Amino acid sequence: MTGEDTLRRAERVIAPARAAGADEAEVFVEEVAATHVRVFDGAVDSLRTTRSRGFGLRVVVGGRPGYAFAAGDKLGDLADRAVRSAHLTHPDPGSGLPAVVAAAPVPEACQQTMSEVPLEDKIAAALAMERAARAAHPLIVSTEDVEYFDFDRAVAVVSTAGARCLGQQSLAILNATAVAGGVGGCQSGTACSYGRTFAALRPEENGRRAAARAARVANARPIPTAELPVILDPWVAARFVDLLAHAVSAESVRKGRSRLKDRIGDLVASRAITVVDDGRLGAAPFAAPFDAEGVPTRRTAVIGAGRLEGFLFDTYEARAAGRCSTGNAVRASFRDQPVLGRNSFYVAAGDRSPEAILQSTHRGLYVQEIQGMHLANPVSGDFSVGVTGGWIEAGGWVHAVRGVTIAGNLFDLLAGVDAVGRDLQFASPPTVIVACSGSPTLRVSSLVVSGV
Amino acid sequence: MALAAGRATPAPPPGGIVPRAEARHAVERVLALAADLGVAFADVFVEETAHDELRYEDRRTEQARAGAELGVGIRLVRDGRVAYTVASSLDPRVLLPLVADAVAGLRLGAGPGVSPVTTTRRGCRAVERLCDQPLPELAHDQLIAELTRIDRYARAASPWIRRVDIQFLSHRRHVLVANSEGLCRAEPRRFSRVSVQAVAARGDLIRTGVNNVARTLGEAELFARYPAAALGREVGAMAETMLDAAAAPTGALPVVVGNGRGGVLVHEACVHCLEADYVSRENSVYRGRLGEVVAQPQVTVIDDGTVPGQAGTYAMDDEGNPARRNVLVASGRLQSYLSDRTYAHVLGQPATGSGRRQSHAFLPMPRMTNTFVAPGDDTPDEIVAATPRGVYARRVSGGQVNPMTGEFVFTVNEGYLIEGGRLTRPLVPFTLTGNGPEVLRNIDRVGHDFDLAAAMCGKSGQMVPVSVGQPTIRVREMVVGGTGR
Repeated sequence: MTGEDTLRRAERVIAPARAAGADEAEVFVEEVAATHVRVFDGAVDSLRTTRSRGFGLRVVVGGRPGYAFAAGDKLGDLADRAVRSAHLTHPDPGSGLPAVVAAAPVPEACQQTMSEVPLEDKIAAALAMERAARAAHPLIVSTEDVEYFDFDRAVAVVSTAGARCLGQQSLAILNATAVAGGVGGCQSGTACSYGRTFAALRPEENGRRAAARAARVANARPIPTAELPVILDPWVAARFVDLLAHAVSAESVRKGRSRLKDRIGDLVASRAITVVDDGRLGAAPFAAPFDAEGVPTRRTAVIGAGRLEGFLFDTYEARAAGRCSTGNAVRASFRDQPVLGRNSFYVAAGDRSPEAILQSTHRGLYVQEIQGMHLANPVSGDFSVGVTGGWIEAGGWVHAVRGVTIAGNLFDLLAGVDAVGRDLQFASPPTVIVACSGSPTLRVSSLVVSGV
Repeated sequence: MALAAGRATPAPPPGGIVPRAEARHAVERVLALAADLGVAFADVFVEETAHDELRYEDRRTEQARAGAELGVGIRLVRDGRVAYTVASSLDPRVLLPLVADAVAGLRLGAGPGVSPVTTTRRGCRAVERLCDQPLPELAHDQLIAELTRIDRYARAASPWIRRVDIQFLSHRRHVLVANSEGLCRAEPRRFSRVSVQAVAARGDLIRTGVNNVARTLGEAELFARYPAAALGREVGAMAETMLDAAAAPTGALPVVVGNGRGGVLVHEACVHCLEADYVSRENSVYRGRLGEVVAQPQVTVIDDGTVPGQAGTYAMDDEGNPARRNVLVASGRLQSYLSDRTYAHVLGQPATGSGRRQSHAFLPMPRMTNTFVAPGDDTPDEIVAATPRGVYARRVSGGQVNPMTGEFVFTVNEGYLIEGGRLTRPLVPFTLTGNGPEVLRNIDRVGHDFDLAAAMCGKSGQMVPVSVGQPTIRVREMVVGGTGR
């Protein structure tokens, strides 16, 4: 597929949309080629190859928004369905399409087309990762979910407002879980990493990292209830950053679902915390020149040294607030209409090594994995999650911990951060990535740990 | 493996009708080519979906979305390795090259894989039911009227309600499975879900009430079972109650878990670990333990894909095997695992009709359907009264388990403190954590007030609708993830 073909396919939907009665129309075309290799015990378990093309059509009819989508090349009654959807919604003066602004390219987003890489090499990478994980530590008894995943994704946005955007993104992802035996049952450790080129991947290193994470939580046991300093692993901290993304969405603020309403300029986090949304960060697993409605992406300061500096906007919310879009319209796929979300949303790296943070912790809990974060309350910021990690004393890891929880409120947690690592990492699950969160290691001065 | 009551959207969606002859022709050509290429087993999964979503937010229909999708997933097994390829067309000119490429991929990589070898036969029986009737359209006006009523009743439930957001989702689907052993079955499927969230605010305090209900039926049947007035009142009242919530306690305490969605507990604590792909792993917690006592005698756990209309119900699974009622734990004794085709062979046990996939884009794997603790003899009031101090989990929002370790959590979004055998005050949402096999053994009371509730279950990146259920039960002790005393 070439970019011009993708654009032409998008353009061909505009005329039928107008004919069906749309005053305004925006076509989103998404073409994805993905490869997924899963290995287990030295052998290929499954190879999955996907090629898909989908169309999303957003229309405005008499001020009413509507949306329809279709997969494959048979568009059928896509335009009619979009217009019929619009007849179901209430008129909304804010629902017009964005005015067109040219977007500068993000060359890092597509450095190598993954379809060019031989399948043999992808399989070899997955097998090497598993071998390294199994061999890394005597406690490792098995692996689970050892996967290589890559995708090439081309998107086009074409609209009656004059948009004609094409973006391409390619990424390869490694994911491995190692299982360690021990007293009282097994424990697991997961590691993921990604590369903009296939050669940038480090499969053995990723496997060894999964093994090291599993081995260090082997023989875990609960600890008593206490208020303690807590160190959050970067991937754990990134889950909390996800919750913050909800609170800084202009939509949440307008709808009374954010505690940050009217707080611009206030200290809402520790002075050690700076939070940024950046749609153009080549080093992150997501980067694109324009957002899901064709608006150029950019870097947006959200929290600067603890102070709330701004919210995230898409075109709709920008209009409602009399502001400019920050290029934060996202869609999970062509099946979804654009919604306000995050691009690459992260806590900026600090200046301390993660080792130094650990060594300077007199007593505390290191949190390596959490469970139940998807059930935290994005409106209130309240969270309560299960923890696997380590008991820290005198700057060293004493024993592994399981069967305890940490609980509190996101904003108290952010206010209590007293150390920020320089090890910024982005979460990269083995899936087509359309947005991501990242964080370095964070230490929170005190959280309630519930245990036995 | 994560379970959430909430917003996760299951797979995609189509509108047109695939002619039966076209589907049959495509499937036969694919299976014939697979046989020619020396594949040991092949199956083809075809689905055609019409998809609709409405968002009624703050008294306005804010969004309406409609979609149509045709998808084909082809699985090819050779030397125990599985190749899977996906298309959105029934055109043999598209499908056959994909099959050839996928088979070429199977020659790569070391060693035999885990999937069983079977013999390929050419051809398949007639495609019986695919698309005999058009996918039904929604009655939008009636639907919007129902959503409006939910909103009204939620607001009427409390003066503190600031906004009510409602999402309605519908899938109408035709699926077809045909394989190289001669199986060819089709099924029309339907799914309707309503999710409601009310936001209550008093001063600086914001709390929410949520509920969602789903059926594998049309929207009219959904609202007949869950009337708009009751849905709205319940969610409004919950948001108001939570305004007075105090911090949940910390430490290990007895836990009384309410009926219906409380069934998240066994879903996470036990049944994920009975899925045959996990069981096949050497160190899995329930491997080789069939026949052993794993719970108190009052505990029976069942996974039943045949309960009419429930969120996890189907006639056949996504490999064409009929849904079954599988008794997993009978009066405390482990009796069965949940298997798809592959892992039934690996474990040398019958397939249990549990092979499910999020959509045509994914390989099937062993999954739950409608999973529940069977009712016992205690009354719910007795169970609370017999608990001097503990927490009562009236509404559970979801949970998560690590099936390798058995560590699990579930989150309570409407909970109460039990003091002196009585509910004394509402608690800020909190998580309970424990080790699955240990918690299963510690279920000591089982009530008679059985109910089922819909949820979305995630596993290895695939979401499927399920239901969970139980009567009121008690667990002797779990760690309560609060912040208070």
